[in-house]
Amino acid sequence: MRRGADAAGSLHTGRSAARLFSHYVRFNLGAGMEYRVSFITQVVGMFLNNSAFIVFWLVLYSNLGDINGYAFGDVMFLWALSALGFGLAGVFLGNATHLSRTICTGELDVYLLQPKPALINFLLSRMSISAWGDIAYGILLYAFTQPLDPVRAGLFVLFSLLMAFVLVSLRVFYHSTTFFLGNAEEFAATASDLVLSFALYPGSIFEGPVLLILHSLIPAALIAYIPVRLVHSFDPVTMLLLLAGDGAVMLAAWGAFRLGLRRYESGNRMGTRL
Amino acid sequence: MRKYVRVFAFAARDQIVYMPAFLFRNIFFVVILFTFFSLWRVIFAGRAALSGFTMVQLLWYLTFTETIELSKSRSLFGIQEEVKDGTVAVTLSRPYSYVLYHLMRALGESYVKMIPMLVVGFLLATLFVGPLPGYLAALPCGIVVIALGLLITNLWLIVINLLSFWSEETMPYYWIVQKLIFILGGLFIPIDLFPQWLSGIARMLPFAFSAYWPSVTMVSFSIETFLTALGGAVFYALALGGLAAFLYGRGKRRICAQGG
Amino acid sequence: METVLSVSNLTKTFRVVEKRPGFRSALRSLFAPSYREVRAVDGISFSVERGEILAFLGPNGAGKSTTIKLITGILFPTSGGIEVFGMNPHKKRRALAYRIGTVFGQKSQLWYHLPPLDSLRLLGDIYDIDPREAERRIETLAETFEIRPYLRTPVRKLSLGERIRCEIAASLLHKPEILFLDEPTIGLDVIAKQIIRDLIRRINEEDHTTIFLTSHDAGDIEKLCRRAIVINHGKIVWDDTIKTMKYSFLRRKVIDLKLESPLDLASEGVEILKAKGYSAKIEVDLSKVELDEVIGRIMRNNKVADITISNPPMEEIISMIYRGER
Repeated sequence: MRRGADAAGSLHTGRSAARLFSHYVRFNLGAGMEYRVSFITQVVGMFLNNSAFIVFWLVLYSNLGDINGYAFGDVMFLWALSALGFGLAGVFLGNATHLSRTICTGELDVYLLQPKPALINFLLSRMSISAWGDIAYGILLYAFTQPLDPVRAGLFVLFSLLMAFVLVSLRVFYHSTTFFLGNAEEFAATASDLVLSFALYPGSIFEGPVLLILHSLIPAALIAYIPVRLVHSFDPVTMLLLLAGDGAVMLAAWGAFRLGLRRYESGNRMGTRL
Repeated sequence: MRKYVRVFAFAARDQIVYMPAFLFRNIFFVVILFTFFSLWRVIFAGRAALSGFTMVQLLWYLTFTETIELSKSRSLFGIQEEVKDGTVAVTLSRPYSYVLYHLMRALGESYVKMIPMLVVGFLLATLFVGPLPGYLAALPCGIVVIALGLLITNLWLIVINLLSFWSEETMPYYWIVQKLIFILGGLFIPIDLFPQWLSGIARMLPFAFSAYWPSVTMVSFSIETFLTALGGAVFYALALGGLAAFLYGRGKRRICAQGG
Repeated sequence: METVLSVSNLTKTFRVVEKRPGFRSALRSLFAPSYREVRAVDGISFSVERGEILAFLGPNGAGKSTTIKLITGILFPTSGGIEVFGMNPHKKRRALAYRIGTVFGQKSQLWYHLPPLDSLRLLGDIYDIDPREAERRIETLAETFEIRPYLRTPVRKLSLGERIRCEIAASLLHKPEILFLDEPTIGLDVIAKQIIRDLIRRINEEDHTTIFLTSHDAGDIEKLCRRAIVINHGKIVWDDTIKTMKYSFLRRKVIDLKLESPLDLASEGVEILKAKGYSAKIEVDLSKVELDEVIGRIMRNNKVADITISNPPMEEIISMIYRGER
């Protein structure tokens, strides 16, 4: 039994964090399984949903060889990566998309009053069921379209995890504007998933100023195009820069949330007072 | 009949008032179109045409398919909410057709969304690839088929939402129909580019009338094309409308039998 | 007696931005805001001892919710001090979280689609309670709150009374030393209200948990609390025991009469509230006339079949306090 902050060791904190995480996952899965048929339909539905685009690319590639260096296999890699990344984000940190709503209804208070870091606690407490379909799709698509190679597979998993973190970070970042501007749910939803609209297309079709944007504001290059380059020819410098970039996005998100929370705690919110 | 027109007008006015959604929708439209343009520009490098489509035609084609897709009604998902929480029972005794009411509401919403999007699409496509030859000539007939395309898409949404009388989850059905329109219906690629064995069938399916036919009428207009597009659209509109009415009738009976 | 909570000269001012609808004007307001200052809490001071059951009252907009949020650390003050167990609640919010419990009406700690048992187990982890210990406590709480039959029923299927009992039980899992309750009996029927009040009293008596209750319900205040703090326009307008509130604040008595002939009474300080046929209801202002004099006069001039003397309803007392009357 603990009271107050525990100075007894980070091992304990680590263990309790791991236990909380796994508890949340089991808990959320349980909540999802409440409606078993719904669970299956959502997962299968999302799987089929994603599969449709394979036809598109097959038709396209049947007319051509490659698209500025991107072969059919590369596009499939992008899709597998995005699906797995998106799925992981939705399954484990699925509440990110509901941040605006939570702030506006005052439900954020529930998380503030619990003895865990508010942001993580909040993010963990919802799981998107259909995201399991994305995970399944990502893995299967990879298995069917990519060359068998443990290093490549390892990188694939790593990049998917990074993509998940970046997606969640983008969501937290954009939804945090609600702290300042009132209900920005639609804006945040559009802005945070905009990156996917780009990540699902071969990076080689973009050039000039657009490419610059894709390396910064809408980090599709960060989460998708550079990983494609790296699985073809790994290069530690690029890898480090990629990690730095991802880290920067996550930091920005965390910072935005903290600033927003400070604003929340001042009570000076837009519109309706508490 | 007048009451339905009023519903239509009301929904239309509602759309005009709500600025942020308008902005996001059109921003998304710009992004998507830009991505398409970047893609097809690379594909068309070193070729004049693909299966009879020039790059100009293809990009303009995509503006029309996306306009229809992005203008479809979002309020129709309210139907499944109503059915799920039982408030649909309130409407059972109202003196109007449930399906027609929602359809008119959807169309009011859609047609108002569509107009600025056509303008934006026009500007973007002109900016990216230049003007579409024959645009003005095709417009009168094209608009009719586009409007019918929206009608059909919205009818699909009504049908899917009505399935909530029987099924807890309707989103998967929505995804499936949406993807069929996206791929088989020619939203992402004109059916002309499909392999032979597929294109014949795809042309005749209802999905093609939500995307391919309206758009191809605009970009490569001919009277035959227009008449085929028109005929098929009317046929499927009636078929889907009938299906919706049928589903509602059955669903209604289900509610009454179960006591809500 | 140990002071668990003390508030001194607490002030909270908000800058409320004038909001106009629409995302774009919101954006505009961010760069060139036009705002007005609202003083929600204006220099209040009070302290709470361990084991008290305290009612915190005030009309809507009086500063109640703001004060609670300040005390629980959700908001930080503009000026003044708050100490809960000697800690600054805003700075030490997470440490404090282990020692306080909250039940706020609209914000539930229980997951809607799941049985309370699942939420309780999750809360056990959140509060770092050893899983076996958590099971023990859940068992005890189930017993005390009589919620065992519903533990495995999804929360959405429970009645309001059952849900509130589960909510309160959940808030006690980590054995908090202070429990903050916001309108816990609202929407409940008379019997359910009594059950909740009994449970709260029991927690207070058995575990010495300090209870901090906001309520609009006079019954809650009268039947459960021993002390009341009334806040209005951000200031404390009353801070004393309920007993004092009832007896010394309001010098009025209500007399119900059943007579054998219409009422004959003329007296200063007596207001006839209702006089119909053979029954009457009068209100006596004890600052103007002595009670025994009035009763004497009634008995002398009328044939009384039945007489009941009672205090004015709590609602009236409270609204008088709100209005600043004495």
